[in-house]
Parts: sequence; C-alpha cells; structure tokens
Amino acid sequence: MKCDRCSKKAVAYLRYMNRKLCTDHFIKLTDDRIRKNISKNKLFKRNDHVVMGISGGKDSVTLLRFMHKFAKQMPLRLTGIVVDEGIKGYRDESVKIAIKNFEELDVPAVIYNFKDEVGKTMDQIAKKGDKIPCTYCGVIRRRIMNNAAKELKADVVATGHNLDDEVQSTVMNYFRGDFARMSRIGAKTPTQKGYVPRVKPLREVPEKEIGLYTIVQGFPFHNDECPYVQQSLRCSIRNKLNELEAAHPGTKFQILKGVNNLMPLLEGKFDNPKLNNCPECGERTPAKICKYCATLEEI
Amino acid sequence: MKIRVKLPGKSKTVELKPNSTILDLFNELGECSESYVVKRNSEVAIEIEKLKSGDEVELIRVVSGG
Repeated sequence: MKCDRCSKKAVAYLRYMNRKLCTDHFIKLTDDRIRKNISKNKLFKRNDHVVMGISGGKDSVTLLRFMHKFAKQMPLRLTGIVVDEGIKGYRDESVKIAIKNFEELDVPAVIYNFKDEVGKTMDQIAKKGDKIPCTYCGVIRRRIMNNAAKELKADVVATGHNLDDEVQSTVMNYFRGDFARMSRIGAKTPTQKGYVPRVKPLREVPEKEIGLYTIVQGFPFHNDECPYVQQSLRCSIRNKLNELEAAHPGTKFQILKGVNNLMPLLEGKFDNPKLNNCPECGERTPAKICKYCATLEEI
Repeated sequence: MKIRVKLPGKSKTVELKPNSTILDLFNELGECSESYVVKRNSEVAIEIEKLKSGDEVELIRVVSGG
C-alpha cells in the first residue's frame, strides 16, 4: 500500500487521521509533532543544559535521537542520565543499549544506580516492600534524577513520557479523584523550589508510533517490559485504553485534548500545601518527612 | 491460507480466509493491534495490508513499562 503523500510504500497507518505514510513522511510528521510541542509549551531556551533520563527503551532512545538533532538548531547542551535500578535480566540489558546510543551520538552520560544511592537493588526492595514495586521505584528514581540534574547544573530535565503515558496518568488521577495532581500534568512541570524543571517533549506522540519511529530508523533499543509492571494499576489501564483505541481510533488524543482543556480551569483551585524541610534530607515537603525518606525507612 | 506468525517468545501457524488483512490476523490471535508494530516478510507493514498464503508475519510488541 502506498503513502498518501508520495508513491513509496506505507509503513505507518494513522487510523485516527485515516492517513498512510511512508518512512520519510512518517518521520517528518513525528518530528514536526515534537517540535510543535516544544515550541508551544516553550520547553527549552537557547543554550539550556538539558539532562535527559535515558533507559535504553524506545521512548528514551527516541528522545535522545530527536534531541541530538534538535540541539544543533536551538542550540542546547545535552547530557544523559541513566538510572540503573538493579533489576536483573532487564535493566542490565537496557543500560548496555543506552550506552551504545550515547557512544554513537557522542553524547556524554552519567550512570547512577540504586545500590549506591539507597543501599539496595530494586530486586531486593521488591522482595521486602509491602506495596507494589513501582511505588518505591518511581519515588527513588525521581529523587536520583533530580539530585543528578542539580549536580550537573542542568537547566531542565527531559524525559521520554509519551501520549499514552499522559493519558494513562490522566485516567489514573481521575479514578483516584486526584484533581490536584491532574492539574499538574502537562508538558512542563510547575516550578518548585529545589527541583529542576521537568519537560516531556514526546508528550503528543502515541507509544506505538514511538516504537515505529525507532524501528524504521534502525535505532538500537531495548524492547522488553519491566518484570514488575504487570502488578500496577497503570498496566491495567494501558491495556483497556489500547482496546478502546483499536475500536475507536482517536480516543487517546481526545483524552489528552480533554485534560489540556481542563488544566487551566483547575489552576489555582487547590491551595498550595504548606511546605517544611524534611528533617532527614532537608528537601521541601508538605508531610512531616518527605516521600523519599519515608520510602527509605520502609525498605 | 496459512500464515507463519512470530510473536514475542513464540511462533505459530495460523489459518486465515483468503484476502484476510493483518488486522484480521490480530483478531484471530486475540491480540490488540495498538500494542504491536508489524513486519511482513521482514518489511514493516500496516494493518490494512492483505496477506498472501505463505507470508511470514512478525509482531513486535512496542508497549512497555518501567
């Protein structure tokens, strides 16, 4: 079947647009989508030092490859951060692929690991903790990323969150009635003292298209699923959303459009919690002890 | 017609009606097309392509977590 724009073979069928595209036109559409997100949300300023969270999976490899092209135009300085949680048979493989990508592009990177930072691997934490592993992993990973970004004097942290991630988060927050958290979903996190701003350049690209983007361009990427993810609510929501999208193309984009329209209405509706310094680490927190330190106590 | 299918961790042969599409194959397998990129005879293919007897189809899972 041919591309709708030229006579080349179609490799992408975007059902929500009823459009078939060849490799070149698909890459152009995806790149344009990312650039538009960056531009309308002002994710970067000229000469920013951008630190990118790179795992070696398709999303972060796409982020790295795109930012490498984009950084020359802006200009931007790039550094990669790899967080090795210590998940045997999964993260060790993906770290190797992340490094391969950095070397091919000549982008500097720093590797941090759970064992050095918190004294345990994620495999050890998963055995001991009462909650699902993702609960501990997310908290620790975010703290490591933020500390690393501060050490590296980054202006902004970019992550590979895609459209599906945003839509899943929207649905999860709705299920939990957490509109305060929903008001903070966006391409750029609200400014918070002590935290390097985080941005999501890939926010408007569907996960399946990220996969296609890496495959048609031959980027090395780690294509395996974290062994702990099946336990999460997010995984259940992901599967249901994919079924809905297959039956009703455009569902995910509609949900994203909905939350984008909702966010300005929610802004300012929730009182900023009174923050104090965590007695353990000094980071700002609305609780008696910050989530990170509470997690360390639990594990 | 017989189609050889490679999924993550397994391979199988599937019997489909003539003029079936890749989407028909997904339905036959009970898999969701949103979760995969497809290669047909080693080339990336789209779901509305019609299959031919003897085709080798690889389903590459592209949803991930973690």
